Amino acid sequence: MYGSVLGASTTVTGATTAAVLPDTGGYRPLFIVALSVAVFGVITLTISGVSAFKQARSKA
Amino acid sequence: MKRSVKIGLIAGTLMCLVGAVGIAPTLYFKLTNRGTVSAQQAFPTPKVTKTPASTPAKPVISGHPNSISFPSVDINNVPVVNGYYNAKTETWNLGLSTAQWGVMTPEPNDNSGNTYIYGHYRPAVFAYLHHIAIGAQAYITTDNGYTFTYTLEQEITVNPSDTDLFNYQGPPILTVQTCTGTWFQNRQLFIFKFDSVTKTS
Repeated sequence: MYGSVLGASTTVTGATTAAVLPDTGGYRPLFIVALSVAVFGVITLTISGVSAFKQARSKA
Repeated sequence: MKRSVKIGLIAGTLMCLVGAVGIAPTLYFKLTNRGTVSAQQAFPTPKVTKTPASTPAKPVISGHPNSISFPSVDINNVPVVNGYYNAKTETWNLGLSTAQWGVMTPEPNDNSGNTYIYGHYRPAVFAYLHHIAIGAQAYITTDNGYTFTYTLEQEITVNPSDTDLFNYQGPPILTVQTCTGTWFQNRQLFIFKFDSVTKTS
């Protein structure tokens, strides 16, 4: 299809100059949301863990 | 243990798990350079024909790209800078508000080759490019005062490791790339045929 549009004289040879195409992803909203949730989870877990540890120590 | 602490521990653990599951695909695709295109379309190659021996040589018009526009999707005068590939890190330079011309590909010209321009899927660059329709025009201005006009012929989605576009040899075309997919794991290629060139300044 493309050849019929372009026509003319050509040869198809050549070397690959890069192993991958560039990563042109934008804001990655899913990643940002997931990262925020994970960070919030770590903070919650840390605060709760410290509280649990303090409670356990005061009981002992 | 207090009830609130228990809830905190459970909620924190759940959030960590959900977050990790959400982060994983992006990291996986970014680190492995794998896409999710299974029935991948091949990059178009032109028909091979012989040039008549009597064809007179014409002077080639080319120029270093300055800006690129796609008026039909309201992308206008996005600055174009040089794009380089780092073979060691397998990465390319990428601006947040610029498009890049792959320096290993031909400058815009009226003779031959595939001019490759890539840019972020961001509002300032190519975020709205996926709305473009077949037959729409692209314009590249060059530092020597020319405007190259192209027409969109085809749009294909490929995996990051598909570098066939660099093997193209034939009449002049323009390939514009941005990313696509839920995690931007695939590469969307817009392939334009060369129409005309005019001296504008």
